[in-house]
Amino acid sequence: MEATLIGGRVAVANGSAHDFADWVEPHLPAMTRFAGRLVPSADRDDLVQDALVRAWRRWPTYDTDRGAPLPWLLAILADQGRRTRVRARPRALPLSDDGSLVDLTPADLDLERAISGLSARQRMAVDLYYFVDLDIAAVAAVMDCAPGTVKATLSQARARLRELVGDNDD
Amino acid sequence: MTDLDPMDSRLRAYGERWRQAAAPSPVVEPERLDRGHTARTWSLVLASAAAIALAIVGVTHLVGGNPPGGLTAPITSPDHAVATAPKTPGLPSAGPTAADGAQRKAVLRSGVERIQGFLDAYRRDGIVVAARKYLAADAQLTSAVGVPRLASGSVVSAEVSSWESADQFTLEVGLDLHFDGDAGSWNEGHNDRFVTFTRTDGALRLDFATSP
Repeated sequence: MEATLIGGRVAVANGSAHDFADWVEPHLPAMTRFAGRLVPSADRDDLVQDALVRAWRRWPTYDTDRGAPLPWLLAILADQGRRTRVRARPRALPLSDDGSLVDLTPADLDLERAISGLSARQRMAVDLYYFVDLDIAAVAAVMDCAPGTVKATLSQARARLRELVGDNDD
Repeated sequence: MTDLDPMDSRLRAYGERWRQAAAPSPVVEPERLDRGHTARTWSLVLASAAAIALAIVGVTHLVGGNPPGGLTAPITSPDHAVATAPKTPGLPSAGPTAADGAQRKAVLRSGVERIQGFLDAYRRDGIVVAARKYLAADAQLTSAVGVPRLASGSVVSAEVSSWESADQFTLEVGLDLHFDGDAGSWNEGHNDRFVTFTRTDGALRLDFATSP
């Protein structure tokens, strides 16, 4: 894998698919968690693989000056998810092999339903921060906004969730 | 984020349980990358050729380079992944029917015009006014504090990234942006962005996201 200077910006030239696999592997857990928030559990792995194909196609244009690869990969995943997601966003509930819900309380289900009632940006911020477990700076990079905006969006989302689940939550 | 917010604690706890309950990540399959790459290369050539030809006509008109109907070489950054644009118009429709292709061309033109309109309003009237007029509801701003001031901006390339309908689609666009002062999270000069369009109350609303 070679990095070349093109137009004053460093670009990663074509490497092999195995080079790409090695490069992306550390970021797979985060990509998988995000995919699990975007589509039903049964479709999660397909979404990850489709996003990887797209990222592999775009890999030569990746600009290392932009920082860590993870926001770039998650943005591709989000766009790929838009292609496949149904209008009624499914609850991203983890299922066991027999299709039963795993380790979730009734309160968790209430919270999941409330999350589905958030705006798209609020839901994205909540998914990235609380479920993918990114820090504020990484969420801001994925959402292409300032860290302060992420904090404000999360605050608004929590306020909305309190309304949706009722004041007696905790 | 805050120890005093019960909802924050509840989300953290649920998020942890959710992660622990989720199945392990899939592995990267290098062979599948190549198979997917090959298949998508052909579909991109077929699906993008007409759209890019139209984008060239539309974009050169919008940036004031040439009169409508004339084609010039594509304006792309050296490392922007846009397929090489053909030099002749009239390419066959990329959609399953000629009518579908014609609709996509018209919608692509409209989308590019909307983005340019947003940039013009951003430069002329500020981000709050531009957001109110062009952006999706959940991208609205109440203050311009902390938002870079746009000095000039233009759309230099566009291709269809995803398509559900004429009322819901995403473009991957190349933008040439210049700012007064700090550019914030934007690049001074070339920027690549996904822009999702959603028709709301008869108007196409924009939502900008990070693009590779």
